[in-house]
Amino acid sequence: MKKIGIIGAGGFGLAIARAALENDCEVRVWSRRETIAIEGVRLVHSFSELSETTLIYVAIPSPHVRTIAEKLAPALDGRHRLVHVSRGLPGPGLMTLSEVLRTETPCRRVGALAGPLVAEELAKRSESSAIVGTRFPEIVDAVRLSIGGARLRIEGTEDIRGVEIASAVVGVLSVALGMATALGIGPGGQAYLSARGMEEGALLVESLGGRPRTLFGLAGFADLVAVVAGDNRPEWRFGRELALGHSKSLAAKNAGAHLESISMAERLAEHARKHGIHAPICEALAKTFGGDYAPAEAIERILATRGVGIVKR
Amino acid sequence: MFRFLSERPLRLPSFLHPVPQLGAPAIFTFNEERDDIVATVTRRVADEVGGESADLEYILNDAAFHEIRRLEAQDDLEARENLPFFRNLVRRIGRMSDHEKRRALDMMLEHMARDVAGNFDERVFKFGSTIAPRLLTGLMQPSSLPSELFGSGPSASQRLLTIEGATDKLRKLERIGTLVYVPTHSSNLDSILLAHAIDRVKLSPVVYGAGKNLFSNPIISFFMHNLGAYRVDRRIQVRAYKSVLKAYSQVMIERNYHSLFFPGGTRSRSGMIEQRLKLGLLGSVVQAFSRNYARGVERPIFLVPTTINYELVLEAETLIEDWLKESGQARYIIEDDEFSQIERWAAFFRKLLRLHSACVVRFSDPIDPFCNPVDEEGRSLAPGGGILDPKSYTFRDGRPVEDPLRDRAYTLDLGEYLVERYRRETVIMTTQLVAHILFRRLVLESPNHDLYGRMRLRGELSFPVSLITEEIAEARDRLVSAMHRGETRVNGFIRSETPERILTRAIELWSGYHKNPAARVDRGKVVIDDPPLLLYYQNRLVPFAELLATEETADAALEIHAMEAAR
Repeated sequence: MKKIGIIGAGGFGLAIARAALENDCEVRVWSRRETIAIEGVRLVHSFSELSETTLIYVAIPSPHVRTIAEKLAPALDGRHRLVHVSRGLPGPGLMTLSEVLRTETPCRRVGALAGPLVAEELAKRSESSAIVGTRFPEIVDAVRLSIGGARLRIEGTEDIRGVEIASAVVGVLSVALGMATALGIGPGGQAYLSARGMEEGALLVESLGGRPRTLFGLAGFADLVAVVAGDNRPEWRFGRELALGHSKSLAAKNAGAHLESISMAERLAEHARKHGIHAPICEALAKTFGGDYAPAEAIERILATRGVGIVKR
Repeated sequence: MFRFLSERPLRLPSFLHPVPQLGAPAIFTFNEERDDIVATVTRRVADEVGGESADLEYILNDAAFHEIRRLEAQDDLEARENLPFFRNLVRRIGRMSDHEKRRALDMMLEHMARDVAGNFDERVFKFGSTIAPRLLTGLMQPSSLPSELFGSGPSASQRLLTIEGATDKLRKLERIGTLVYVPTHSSNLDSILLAHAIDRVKLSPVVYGAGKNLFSNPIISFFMHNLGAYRVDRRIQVRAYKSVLKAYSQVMIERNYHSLFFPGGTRSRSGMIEQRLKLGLLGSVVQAFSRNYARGVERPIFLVPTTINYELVLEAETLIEDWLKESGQARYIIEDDEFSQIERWAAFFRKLLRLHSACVVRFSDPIDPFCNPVDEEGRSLAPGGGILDPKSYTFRDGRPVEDPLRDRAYTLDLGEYLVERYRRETVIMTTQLVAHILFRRLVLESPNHDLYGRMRLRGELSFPVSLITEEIAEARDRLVSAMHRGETRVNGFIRSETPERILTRAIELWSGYHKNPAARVDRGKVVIDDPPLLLYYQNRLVPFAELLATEETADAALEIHAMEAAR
């Protein structure tokens, strides 16, 4: 029987646990919680118990990944494979989560699971897909075997950086789209915003060391379509709440979102400024979060920008 | 006679060969093992390229086509010896049975492996390490010959070259596992210099690949042939040849030969620190590790990131010209550069010999093939400082196995790690710092020019000496702080001398060796004379442009920084 470990018993962690159980895996979940809502899953509180499995999903919000990784590290060695499912670039200098895992633990076999994969859908086993960014083909296989299936297609790409940055960019765009929806922007305007977003994203992905074409696949484009199609994800809800006039913290609370997407827009905007990249959406969102723009003004400005085309400067 | 020397490896007679001592590094018994190594390499490559499903006829035809074309153009001893084989092959291939084809492939591969395999002569090695440097420096500076040969003081080559880094640790580690030196690459002198540096700090000799063009200089060729260098003929286009080289490197590492190769592949044309590495030879390190451990040979491998830092680069002019022409690919092998011109050698050494530490070799802290640091006992260390078993990286289902796809991923990681490491371990030299300050000014003062336009601004721009020294002082302070933060290294001269002396040293170095000095001082002003040369030396500092930018020079620094991404 295949064994897998999961860190975190939030929505995503439990969804992965359910999917893995269906694939006949033995599942161990590490969490601080005392009980776990799923039958057949073993709840563990020590990392050494968790590390008896070699495939471990890291399903905790990105700001916590570093601290947990540090604590987890002594229980791990070169045989372990870590796959994170978090969106975000938490470290200084826009470090990706896989880099955090590689720096804080001895693990080299790491992967990032991203794409239009929503916890609720994963749990319901409805039609969905995801992409694993990893240099190790064995990780794609392991993810496929543990949670993939006829209804959840798992693809793989070597461009792990591209996947992680694309995923972060879509996180930012989700907030913008949530704002736009609440402000009554219709399909045409949302489509325009999405197109500009992909363009901006491609420049960011490239300048941060990923391949732009990764953004046009499952990790970026498909993920964005899922937002527009109404997957109702936390980042989108956060944007909507913000446009309805709530404060940042209240909006985040109502949306069940972590404020991570906020600082991401600001840090991406800063990176773009520094490297002469045209990034009006990140810029407008950063100004909104900083209190310089009202949400309506931000969206208006984004819709007023002209495309620059995806060309090398 | 020199022609003869370069075409045929010259070896000393084998009688009176010293008997290697027990426990001596593997290289001292290389000659006995050579046939076995050639056979192993041949067999492995034959299995790899000529596997069950391989189209043998295609492989052989492809090889014959490339080799006949190359050898006909070469028209030398090698051609006369080998052309008949390939011509015969082409004629007969249609009628050959599978067995005969396989046999022909084996013959071809064995010939390649034999051509690659070097020789090691302990006597040449001893001569090379003691007398040769003195002789060489003496020849370049005849007045010092007697003191070089008979004096007891430090030889000029000793003053010339500063060696720093983890040498004590390396001496311990080379008894525990196999050392693989992976240096940056700027000049054809690198391998000779490094072999000398390794010897001077009493580390064991290494085997290393050297371009066949290096063997065209008869003196160097003699030493190369007998110092365990293996020959890499970049003119050979046959795909299987690359596999032979890689397999050779891997077999040597597996058999505990301390090795050296340049992961950048060729000399940095731009002068920039390597940003992308060739993964073939790096892969051979990872695969050697996996193969050994999967077969129960538990001998660790330690990679030694090394930087070679010059005040003057022998071939600077040709290299940067080549880069500017963007013809780096086409002229992959430059055969007519300064390296082959004996008078340039003389000028180069005359210039350098008067200086202290004109070259710094830095052996930085070694790592295992999975980018983990290792301690004095050769144990891999986890991020928290705990001991880690490197074997675990080769595990699948609880035991070590070979897995080329997995090892390829480790190799990609290793390549990125080394690039990052080179930046931190590069030792910034006086000429590089001064060139950067001057080039930044040049960019600032020529806002409407592109790079190529700027290259034509010969003698047109000049700046007050006081302005330049002020900027040198500021940049120096920032570099030294960066050094304390572990972000880079700075040579001793920059750290201890005044900005005026820093400027003077750079200007003096450039004048007299290069055809045109990069810059000169004229009536209180620094005049830019050769922008391409300036570009070459300043390129080492491209990754630090932002760090060194002042408010006034911020835009220029950004432009310089962007040059890195453009490549």
